[in-house]
Amino acid sequence: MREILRFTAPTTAATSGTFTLTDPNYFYAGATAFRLPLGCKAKLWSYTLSGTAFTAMLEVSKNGTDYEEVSRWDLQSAGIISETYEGRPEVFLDSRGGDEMFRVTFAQSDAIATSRIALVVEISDEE
Amino acid sequence: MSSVTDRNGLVKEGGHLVVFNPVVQTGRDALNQNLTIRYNKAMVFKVLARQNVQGEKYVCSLPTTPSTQFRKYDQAGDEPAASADGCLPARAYTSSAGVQFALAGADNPADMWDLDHTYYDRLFHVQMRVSPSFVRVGVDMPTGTNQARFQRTKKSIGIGSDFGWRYGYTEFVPFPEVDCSYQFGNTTNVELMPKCEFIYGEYIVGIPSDPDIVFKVLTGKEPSHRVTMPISIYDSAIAQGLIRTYGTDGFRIFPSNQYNSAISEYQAVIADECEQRVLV
Repeated sequence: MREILRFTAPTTAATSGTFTLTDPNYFYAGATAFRLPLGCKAKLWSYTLSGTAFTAMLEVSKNGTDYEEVSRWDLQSAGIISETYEGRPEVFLDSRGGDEMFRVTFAQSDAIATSRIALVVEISDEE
Repeated sequence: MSSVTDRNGLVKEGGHLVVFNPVVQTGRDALNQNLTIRYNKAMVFKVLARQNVQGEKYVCSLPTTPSTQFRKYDQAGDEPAASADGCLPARAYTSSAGVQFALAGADNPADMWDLDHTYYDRLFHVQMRVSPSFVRVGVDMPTGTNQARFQRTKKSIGIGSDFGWRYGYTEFVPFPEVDCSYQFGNTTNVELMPKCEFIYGEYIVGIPSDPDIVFKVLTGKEPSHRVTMPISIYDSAIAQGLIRTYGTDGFRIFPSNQYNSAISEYQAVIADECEQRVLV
């Protein structure tokens, strides 16, 4: 089983916060974190940061409460940055107990809602 | 793709379909009547033709509404409910009654795969893929009966447990007169809007009247496509439904070196049990 989700979310009018991630194809509403189905891996295929300068942090949790940062991406000036892991997606979270979650937080110097993040994440129970 | 199935996994015209009953039964040994042995049964069908062969795909939303009942994975919290039609709430799975796919104008408008015994010549072979594919899927045969078990019948497992289900795909053969339902589970923390994609065959079938063919199919000497019933307990509703439709609930599976015993028993099943109208 493998499913590609395209998480997308805008920044809010705050200097820091947590993205409300959504996939319009499959999610009725967004969530500030995504709980990984039992036994699945989350693999990052690409990320895109656009808009005005901000920093995004990918954070994972094994218990759904305590998060640790595993990736950080900087959009240093207005524009767009994007990276695709061609053919070798990065496994950033592996579920063993079903409590594992991930989220993306942001930080920016001005409290303006002018930026957006998009992540292509594969949810898979295969290697 | 086997020699009897097409690229969609459906049985080609002229091929054989075996529906295996995984529940082991006990009975007298055909060679030594004093001996009690364990065996399995299977239904054997010849697919004479397929209806609507150019368009055997059906896509729809999950058949849920805000009034659909769900169970929850977490003890705490309110009873889960769908926010809109087609939704599967976060951390929730369907009630013991499961859900069925309604279709106006069908023989049973509440369940498009449900037929009565007058459809003895028809058999659906249904594959369902759900997107996103991390939705847990199961089939209850009959409806309301969770058949997933561990260590014989020691422990019930299934859609509400950590195992005993599949992600995103199921294949089964709903028999006429046997009421079935689907189970769906969402362990994520987001409410999902799943898409259900069916690849189905409406087979025009019959039970082979030649016991030699039945033997060859069940011993693998004649190629066939085999589907296992999603059961651990042989509910009487299944046996009754099969007998009402076909007159028999299947052929005993013999070892390949017991040809004569098998032929003798199959001849008796075909002559004494099977409805004449189902034989081909």
